[in-house]
Amino acid sequence: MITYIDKIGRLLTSNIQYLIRVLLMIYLSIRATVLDQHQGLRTIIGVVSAQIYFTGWQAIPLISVLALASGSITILQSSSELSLLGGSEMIGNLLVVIMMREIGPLLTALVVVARSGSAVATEVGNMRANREIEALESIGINTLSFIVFPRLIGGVISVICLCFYFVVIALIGGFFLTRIIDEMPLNFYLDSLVQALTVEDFFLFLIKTGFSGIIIFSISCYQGLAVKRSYHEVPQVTTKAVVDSIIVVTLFNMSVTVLFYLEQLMRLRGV
Amino acid sequence: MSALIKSLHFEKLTFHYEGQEPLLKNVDFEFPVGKRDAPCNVAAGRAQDKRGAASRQTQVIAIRGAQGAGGSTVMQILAGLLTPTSGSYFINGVPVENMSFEEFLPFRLRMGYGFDAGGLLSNRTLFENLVLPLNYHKICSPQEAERRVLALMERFQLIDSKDLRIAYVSASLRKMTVLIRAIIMNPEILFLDDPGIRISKEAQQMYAELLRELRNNGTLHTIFIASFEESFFSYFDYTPIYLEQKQLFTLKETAGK
Repeated sequence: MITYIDKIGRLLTSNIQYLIRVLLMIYLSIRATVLDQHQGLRTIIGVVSAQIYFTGWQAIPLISVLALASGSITILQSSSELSLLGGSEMIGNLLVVIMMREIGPLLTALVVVARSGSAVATEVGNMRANREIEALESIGINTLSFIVFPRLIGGVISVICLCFYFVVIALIGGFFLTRIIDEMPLNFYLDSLVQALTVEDFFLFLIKTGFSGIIIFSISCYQGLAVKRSYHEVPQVTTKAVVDSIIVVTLFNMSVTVLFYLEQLMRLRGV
Repeated sequence: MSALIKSLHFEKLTFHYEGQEPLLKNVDFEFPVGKRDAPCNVAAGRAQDKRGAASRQTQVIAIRGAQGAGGSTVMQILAGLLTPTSGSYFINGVPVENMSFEEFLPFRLRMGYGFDAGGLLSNRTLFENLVLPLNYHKICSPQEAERRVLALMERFQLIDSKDLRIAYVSASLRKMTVLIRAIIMNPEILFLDDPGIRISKEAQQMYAELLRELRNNGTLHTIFIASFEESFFSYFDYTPIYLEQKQLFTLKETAGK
């Protein structure tokens, strides 16, 4: 029994330590960027733009396919089920909840983890093994402001934009794809969507996507920088970055949803 | 311009890589940091049981030890690239481990480091690797930086490869680029880790000549060289610091020509 408690305690402590270290890295990268008088805005914008290009722009084909597929399937399924139940006008609410609050942020985050999180962990890990990080330090360039901060910012912007694109393509593109089978009037569909959208949806959307971006890129950079000396560590940290990012992003999305619905429930009960 | 770095000192310093035996253990050592106008090859430091300080007038210091003894590690600690496991490293009497990156930066900008292997940014060309520190720290105008880098590339016959990324050039060109980058910001102290390997005799001679010019024009006052092979040492009068049995020590007599 004591052994199990001991194991749980160790697991908990190591995870808390891990979290604190990642948070510390984020804080230090922001601090380093603010304090770095040499690194001009031009340098940061250059790396941020490159990150947005690789993470955001290059992921558009994959996101388009996923958005069209999940959008059309959800529209088709929900419209047929809601028609049977006599609640067709609720399609907007259902789609906003599913696409904008849940599936969109989660699927986009998973795509970004698979494509860019792994790429960043590999890139930074290789830089460490190839002594590029040491070289930057030796010429007085702070890795946290030069490598980590621009990737965090670029990553957050990319995830928000990609998810917005996902939702638009899923809701609009999905609708047109569904029209091949299902003849739902466009005006009815758009009205239902517009009426369903609330400020809370945008708030949840921004919270989930923004923080997912921070989680993915901070974990990936942290793992990349965790490489000590050897190239053989690079695939190991990449795998760890991907697995950890997926777990944390999923748990985070789930927690935000649970907290939101608990708050709604308490509001309905008048607590 | 007066020298910023006046003393380098280890106090009870121990260093080991994770899971390995210590390379340095409880080392107390005052490194000789040369003065510009001091005559070379004069050893008058205090020696205490083979440990202690060597001459403060020597400009070229050779860290000698067997292969894998930890010469590169000593250089990395001195350049602030590695943190001691325990004990302290002082620059001008201030412990380095208490300094933030920003506090250490003025010292860092007066140091040049020539890596033994690796150490170039793989997503940049040779030219971009060399010009980066000058432009990043705005040491001079971008035009002046470009002119300075191109002149050095021309001198060391790197000009034809200037727009190639490091994966597309030979190991000798990469090594030469690392060595040139070490002196690009006109440092006061230069750390050269195995400078003689991977480059030809001619290139070694040319680089030694460049170092002599830099020593004469007054900016470079101390060169630390760590190497287990002899070739590069033959170009300088130097004071040896020995690294044996996890300790640093100096002898009264000096080696070299």
